[in-house]
Amino acid sequence: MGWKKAVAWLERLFDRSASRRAREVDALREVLKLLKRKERRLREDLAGESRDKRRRSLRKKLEIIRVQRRKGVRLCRDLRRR
Amino acid sequence: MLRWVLLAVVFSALAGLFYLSPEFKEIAAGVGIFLFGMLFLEQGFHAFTGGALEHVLRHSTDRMWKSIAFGVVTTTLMQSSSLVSVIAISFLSAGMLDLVAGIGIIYGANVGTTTGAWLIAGFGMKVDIAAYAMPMLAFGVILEFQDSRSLKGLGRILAGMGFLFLGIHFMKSGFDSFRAIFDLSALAMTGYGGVLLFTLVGMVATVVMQSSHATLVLIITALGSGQLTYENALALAIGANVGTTITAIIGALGANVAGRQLAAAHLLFNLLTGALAILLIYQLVDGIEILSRWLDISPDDATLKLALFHTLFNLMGVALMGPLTTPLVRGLRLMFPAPARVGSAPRHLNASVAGMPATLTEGVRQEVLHLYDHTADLLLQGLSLPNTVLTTDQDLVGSGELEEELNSVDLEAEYERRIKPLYSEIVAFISRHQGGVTPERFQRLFELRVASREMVQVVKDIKHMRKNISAYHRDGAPVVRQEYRRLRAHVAEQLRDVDRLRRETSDGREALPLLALDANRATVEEWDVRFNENLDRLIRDGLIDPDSATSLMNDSTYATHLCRRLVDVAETLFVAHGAEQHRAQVRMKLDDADWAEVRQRAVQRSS
Repeated sequence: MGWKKAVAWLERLFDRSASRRAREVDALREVLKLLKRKERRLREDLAGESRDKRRRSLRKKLEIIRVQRRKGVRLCRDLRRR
Repeated sequence: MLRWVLLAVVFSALAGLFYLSPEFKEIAAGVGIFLFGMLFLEQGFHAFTGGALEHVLRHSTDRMWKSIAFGVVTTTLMQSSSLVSVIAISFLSAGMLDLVAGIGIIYGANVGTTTGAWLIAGFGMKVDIAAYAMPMLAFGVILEFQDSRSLKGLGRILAGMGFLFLGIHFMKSGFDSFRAIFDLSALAMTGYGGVLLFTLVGMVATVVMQSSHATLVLIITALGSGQLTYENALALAIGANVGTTITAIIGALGANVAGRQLAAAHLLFNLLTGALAILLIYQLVDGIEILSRWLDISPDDATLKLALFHTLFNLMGVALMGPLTTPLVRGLRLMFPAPARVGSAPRHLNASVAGMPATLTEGVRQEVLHLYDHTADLLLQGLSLPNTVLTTDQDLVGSGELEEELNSVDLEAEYERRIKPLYSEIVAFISRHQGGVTPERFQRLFELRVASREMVQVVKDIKHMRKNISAYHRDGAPVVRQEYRRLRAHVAEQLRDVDRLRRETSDGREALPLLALDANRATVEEWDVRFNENLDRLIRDGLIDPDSATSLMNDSTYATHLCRRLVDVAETLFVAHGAEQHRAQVRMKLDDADWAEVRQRAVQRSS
């Protein structure tokens, strides 16, 4: 374990709010990972879809995921900065 | 009145015995302190039934061996098979467990409870157990005064263990003194007559004390002080094993059919195991002699041999009943058939579910899901579409189903018959049981009540829409009929999306249901704008008369409200609440500013 990691680990151990924030960041990162996976799946679906209405719906879902992911990254960054 | 008379008789008899024999007084005090300790222990574990226990229960009961292991471990920790059985019954009633898993837990609990006999025989009888009780009581009381719920629970568990140990000490010392005055072993009986009589005594004692653990402590301490013969002690242990089912039976009285099936399985298992142990008692005794030599148990250590016997005959029961679980489940379902699923009688709202905070919220959620099923069915009937539209992927606007003759459903009558009674039951149940729960659970119950109210509104919305749907489907101009078909298709597709989300969330295909619902919200809002823009165009071009146009406007408003409600209901019902990942999704859900961004990008794309 590197010096920086050890310090972060100790901080998490003794500072309750730091440990809560770390848990929040972990959860956000997990959700971001799942969103990324979903985005990839939807892109594959879109590539194989020919119906207009369904393509529109898939594009909309992708657009929403994009905004959600951006928001998630921003939240992660804010929590880490604190 | 009879109860008071009985109580007076018992009190007088006990007072007389206490006066005559200080030793008996000590034994009785020991039993009392022991039972008090059990009570503390149960309350202490209840403090942890708000999260961790449910989490473990859900993830460790998907296979029979896991359920058995769960029963063994939890009963060993809690030292109460009755508490584990009652918890299993409550979870089953709330729909959080299936019957097979519940039966597995009962098998495990029966084996787990035998660890108590080992603890008392191996530890309690050989050391000064009271010396351990004192620090436990002191630490337990200090923790009891803490604010934290978990620390309080831990304090209760410690104090409970302390009282258990103190109770054992008093019983042991009472029997030791008693031996000098009166030799109970003179009442010993041999042969099958003795086995049957002492089994009955063990059963009655356990029913009275409602704790096989307390009976076993009495048996072991009496056996250790020579007041009981080994053979009679074995019979008493068999009786205690059968008598312990009484707590589960009492617990199941307030449960639904599933809970009763489990209590019956518990009774059957213990009766069968008991009968087998009585029949094979002498063979088992021989087997114990061999095993004792193997396990290095001294030949004259009757208490440890009793513990071994207790474990052995329960393991024998599991080995016998384990492979018969499937026919047992079939038999139980025949004995206690589930009530026919017609009408809207509640399925999960009962006293057993209300007994624990976790089962209370989950039971209510299951019932609100039941209301959702009725609502979805009525909604489709109101749209005059078959239930099969929920499972297809086709574009409904172009489908022939919208062209067909409308059904003749009476939505008002159906609402009175299926929705209102169930909604009233849910509201009444929540109101009765929400007091005393944690703020988080109170909030969850409130959300479930709001979701129920939303579903009532969904049915009212479709009731309003149905008037014009029927009128214009029959006599409307082609363009108006076409718009009503679009409106019906839109509502059905939204219901289909929400229903699909329910299936995909429950089978794990959708890991982020809360975020997925943002797309549904976007669809609902965009459709409302597009539908009304199209309506404006039709009016401007003179393709639709103003009267029909205003009807369509009103009904599109109903449709939009209805679809928004469906999304809100899905958010409350299908999304797992409370976990860290859920909180992360709540933070990432789109807010007004995000929606503005989504809309702006849509405008940019279209221009």
